[in-house]
Formats: sequence, C-alpha cells, structure tokens
Amino acid sequence: MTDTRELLSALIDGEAADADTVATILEVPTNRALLVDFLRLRVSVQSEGETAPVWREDRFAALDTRAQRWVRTGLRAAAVLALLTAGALGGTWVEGFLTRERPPEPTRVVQLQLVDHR
Amino acid sequence: MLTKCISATAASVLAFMGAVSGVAQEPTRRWDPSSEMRPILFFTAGDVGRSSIELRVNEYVPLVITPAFRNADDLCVSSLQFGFDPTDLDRAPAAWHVEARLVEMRQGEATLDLKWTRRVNRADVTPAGSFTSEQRVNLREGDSRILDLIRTAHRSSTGCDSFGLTYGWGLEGPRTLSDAAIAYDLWLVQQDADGELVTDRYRVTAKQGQQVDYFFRPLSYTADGHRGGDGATAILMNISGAIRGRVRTDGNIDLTVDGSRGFTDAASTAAVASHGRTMLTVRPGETVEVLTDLPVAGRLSTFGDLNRMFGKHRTAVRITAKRLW
Repeated sequence: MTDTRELLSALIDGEAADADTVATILEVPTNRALLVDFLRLRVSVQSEGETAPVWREDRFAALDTRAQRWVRTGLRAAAVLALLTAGALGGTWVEGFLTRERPPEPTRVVQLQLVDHR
Repeated sequence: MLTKCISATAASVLAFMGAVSGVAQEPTRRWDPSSEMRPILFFTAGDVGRSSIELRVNEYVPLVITPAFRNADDLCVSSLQFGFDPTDLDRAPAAWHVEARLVEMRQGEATLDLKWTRRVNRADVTPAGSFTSEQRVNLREGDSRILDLIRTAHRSSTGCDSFGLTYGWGLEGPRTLSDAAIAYDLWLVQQDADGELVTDRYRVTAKQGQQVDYFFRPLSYTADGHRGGDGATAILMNISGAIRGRVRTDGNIDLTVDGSRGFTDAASTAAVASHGRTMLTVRPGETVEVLTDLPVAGRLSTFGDLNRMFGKHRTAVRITAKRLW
C-alpha cells in the first residue's frame, strides 16, 4: 500500500515511473481515486506558490498614492528618530555608569589610634 | 622684631633633624616625619597677634611678648610685639619672657619645658609685680593652652577686663612651600554587618599646614543596629574629623588625620563618641583608607552595648590628597 502511494506521488511530482506497474495499480478503483487526490493536491500547491506578492492596498484604501508616500516617509523618519533616541539614551546610561561617583580604591589601610581628651 | 626672631632661630633646623631621627621614629612605625618639618611653639592673644619660636632639643629658646594696650584704663590690645630683648620687661606695662625647649617628640605629641616670667608695671592690673613659673608640658599638635592671664583691678563697663596669652605646639613644613595649598577628597565608606554599603563624599581645600574639618551625612539605624528608615530611626551615626597636610619638597604629603565616630539617639538627647588620630605620609594623589570604627566608651541612653551592636560594621574614610599649588 505504501509502495502504491509512493509511486503515485512520485508520478504526480514528475518522477520516472514504470508504465506497466502504473497500469497495474490503476486497475484498482481506490488507486485511481488516490491518483486524482494527488493531482488535486498538486494543483492547489502550485497555485499558492505561483501567487505573486502584492501590496495590501486595502490598508491605505482611503489614501491616494501621494498620501501613501508621505505616510511611508513619515514612518521611516520616525523609525530613524526612534533609533537615534534609543542610541542617545543608551550612550548616556553607559557614560553615567562608567563615570558614576564611587570611592577610589585605597593603596593601604590604617587604623585610627584612640585619643583621650585631656 | 619678628625678623630678628626668625633669623635667630633658623639654626635650630639642624638640631631638630637630630631630634627627629633620634626620638620620633621609635614610638610608631607609620609616622615618618620629614626632616623638613620644624617643631614650633606658638603664642596667641585672641585674634590680635600670633608668633612662634622654632624649638630646639634640650636648648632653651627665648621670646619676649609685649602687648600694646590701647589705653591706660583697660586691657584691650591693639597689637602684640615679639622679640628677644629682656629689658622690655621693665619698660612695658606688662610683658612675658618665655623660654622653651623640646624634650621629646612622639606621634603628634611633644614634651616641652617652659620657663616664663611675667612682669606687670601697671598699678591697676593684677597680679602686680613679677611672677616666674617653670613647667614641663605634654602637648598635642594643634592644641592650645592658657599660659597666663591678667586682669584690671577695676571692672570696666566698656573696655576689656582681662588679657590672656595662649600657647600651643605644632609642626611647620619647608619655608619654600609655605604658600602651598592642598585639595582633600574624602569618602565615607560604611559597610554594615549585613553587607549594605553606604558612601558619602566631602571635598575641602586648605593651605599648607592648615587644619580643616570634614563631616558626612548622619546615618540612620534602628535600635538593633540595622539601617533605619524614616520612621524607624533610633540611632544616628556621625562620622567627622579634621585633616591637616604638609607638602614636602619631594612632593609627598604628611597628613595628620583626626576622626570621630559618634552616636546620638533620634531625639538628640544623648550622645557618645570616640576620637582617634593617625599620622602618615602619602604620595600625591594616593588614596589611603583610615578605619574610624573606634570602640565607644559608655552607653547611649537605654540602648544596648554599641560596641557589640556595631562591632561588625566597618566604618572607614578614604582620603586622597593632592597639592593644588
């Protein structure tokens, strides 16, 4: 059964198949139905893959072409601005972290000696 | 007079070098006073005047102090004269002839012998006549003591009823560096027993040999020694002190650091504190850490043993000193 499905699938994919074997298989009605199913599946896959990508005009359906350009330009500018702002804030944080006031490391440690008040 | 005083005592530098090498390095290993440092005895009379003599080891150095009173009715002083002429004792309304010698110098302290004579030639001033005293004194650097005090026999409602002379012992650095200035960068580094770290910073500038105070923001604690919030503060820890530096000709700086760690209750009704001092020599820009977690004598009102409560806390002041000019 598995061999029958594989052979029919290969046949649909355009691979070489033995004609006598295919003829024998197709004498069985269920195998003919299987071949038709494979064929339909193949057609449906081909039609999806061949569909060219299209811009979803419905998104800006209310806008004309010139308005779309302005929107796109605005979006690009906003993205650049957001990147620059993020960079500046990040740089400020890094600079603040690096220059944050902290006690310097001592080269030696000494202890105060108690003083009595005379 | 002052010039005469200075020139006459200039030769004592060599004697002091011998004193330093023979006396001062024994008591402590940390204090390594420069041979450029000169021990002095200074005299002051309020804010009217100040003069000093350079001390010699086991050799008396004299000084005659003569106040110039503004008028004959009171003891308000317009100026002080310092010299070496003992006959001033007979001429001036009041004068003191002081002789001093250095006996011994330890870390931040000195033992001196003082011989002095007071002569009062004004009938309205008491005690009248002459008085002579001789004493051996132990002085800490920067401390000031009263040498003598005279009063008018009749109280004056507007003038000065008394005149007092004070004295103290100190060290001075090289004369060529007398105009030097030092910048101090001080950091409080407080680490509690639970590992919490708090830092605070204080910066101050001072002249060569000038002592300046430092202090930090008080730290709040609960009654069991943990860091306290706004409503839970029971004890406040105060770290403060004073620092004095002298630049050497080799660029290093001699430091005298006084520190105090005190505790007060939240209502400021009771306080205890301990004080300490250390002297050390640092390289320019070198950072040293001075531990100020001194044991406290006594108790703070109803609180327990502060030494046990704060025994595992570590309190230190990191000091960086640089010569400004």
